Amino acid sequence: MAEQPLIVAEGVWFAYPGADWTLQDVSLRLAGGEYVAIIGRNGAGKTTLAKLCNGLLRPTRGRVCVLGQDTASLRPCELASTVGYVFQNPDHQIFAATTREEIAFGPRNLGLGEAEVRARIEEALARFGLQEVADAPPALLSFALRRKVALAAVYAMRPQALILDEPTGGLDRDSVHEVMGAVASLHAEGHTIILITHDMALVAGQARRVILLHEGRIALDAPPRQAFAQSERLHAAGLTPPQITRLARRLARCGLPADLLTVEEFVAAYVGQAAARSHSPWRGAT
Amino acid sequence: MLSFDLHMPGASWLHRLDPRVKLLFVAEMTILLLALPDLPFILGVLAGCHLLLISARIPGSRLAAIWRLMLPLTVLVVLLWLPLLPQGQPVLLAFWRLRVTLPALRQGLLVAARLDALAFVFFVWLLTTEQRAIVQGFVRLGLPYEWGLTLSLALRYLPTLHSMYQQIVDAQRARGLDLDAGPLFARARRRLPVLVALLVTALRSSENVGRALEARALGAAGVRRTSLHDLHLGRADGLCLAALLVLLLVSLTFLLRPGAS
Repeated sequence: MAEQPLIVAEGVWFAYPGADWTLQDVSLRLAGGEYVAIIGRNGAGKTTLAKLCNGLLRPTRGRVCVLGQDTASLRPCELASTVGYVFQNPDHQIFAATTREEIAFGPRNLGLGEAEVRARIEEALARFGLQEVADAPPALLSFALRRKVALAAVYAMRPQALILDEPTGGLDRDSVHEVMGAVASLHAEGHTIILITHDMALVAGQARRVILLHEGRIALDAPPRQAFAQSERLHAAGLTPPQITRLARRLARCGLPADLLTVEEFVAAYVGQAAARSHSPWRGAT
Repeated sequence: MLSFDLHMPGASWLHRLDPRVKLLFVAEMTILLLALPDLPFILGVLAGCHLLLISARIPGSRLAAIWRLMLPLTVLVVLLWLPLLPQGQPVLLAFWRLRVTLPALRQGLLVAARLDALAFVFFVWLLTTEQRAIVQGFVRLGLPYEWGLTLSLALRYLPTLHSMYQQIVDAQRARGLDLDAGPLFARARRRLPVLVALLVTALRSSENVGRALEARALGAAGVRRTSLHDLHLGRADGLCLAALLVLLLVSLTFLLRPGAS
């Protein structure tokens, strides 16, 4: 028997009161352990789709099921232990006097015992490198640390799926590596990751599946290598493949694969070419 | 997004009227409505306000929407007054210890009508005046510019604050916070994480806005501000001021007549 999908959306239409359709006839299935990136220009319906997945919004038409249960019959607090949502702005969730208390909020809402809550706090602090600020007021931490606190606070609820809305916005390179490294380790442990972002390099380097939303509809649903090969569809949705993919495409005539996604892949391909041909693959490039 | 701005754009004579004149209208009508407890006068003001709004081409659907909001409050005020004057005559209804008399009904209707008339006086002002013009009117009447700007920013940020509140409610519900279950006190208590996060976010935003304003030289010493949209009283404003003066004099005559209570 096939494994039950984690999230299923069937013919979902959604409109905010007094507005046109934000989502139109969206259908998708997300299995446990997937790493999905939802991309699209502003207003394409990315955040709306994510909020439908954790019950914060309910479809105007169609239905969304989480582990087989229709979200229309569940409250968001009942879905919180299955689908966690880390909001774009960490300040929208931070309120507690200490980082420890902030992390404890979610597990306590789930009705866990104090011993379990304490264990989860310590584990979340260690995983996101927050031990030094465990007793500091989270609202006064730097933006990068506040984002980590927000992530740790949702992680402590141990949801099967984590929705991350622009998790790297406003972070420097090192902080991006730290945050996305922690997310990658969660994925490696079996958590489903749903990433909403405008950062195509991040999508190319992290996600295993790309869902492109354009004018409220799914315009593309494919692995990143195939998705970023479809420049015209991306262009129509106001997006471009990552810089390194575009560079590789320009250098394809020199023998480099045209579908490279990351700098690491590019370097490996370049070194391989150079070794094989014993001369620079750049010769002849325009 | 929820709109906190009642203004309905338009180019009618009422829209074009100087905001200071409209402010004077609001002040005068408020004082007269409070000073004259006379049902024909109150109903006259109510009818006058409707005529003004119709002349300003405010759609009937908007007036109906305002009445839908006002009606429950109107009925509540009348109902609350009914048991308050049990000694009067004639008695309209007697049940157990409850006695509803005609004077109580009359008083209830008077208070409710006065409340509706006051609301419509303010609606005449708010439906036909942009927020910017409201603040400019206050400033030209002597309010310090910084205070006017603060008022304008406060009005401007109300929708933002509401949207922020919704986002925070969603963020906390996504962390398992159940805001809808349980008794009233418990539900109010559970709003605390939302309110603290809202306060912190609002303070952070206000600090950023303050710094951005300072960075653009707000409050620089020795500067005399000019205005792109200056206010000038025109012929229509003069006529309205004269009409307001006449109304004030007639009302005062009526109020101070021998035998007036």
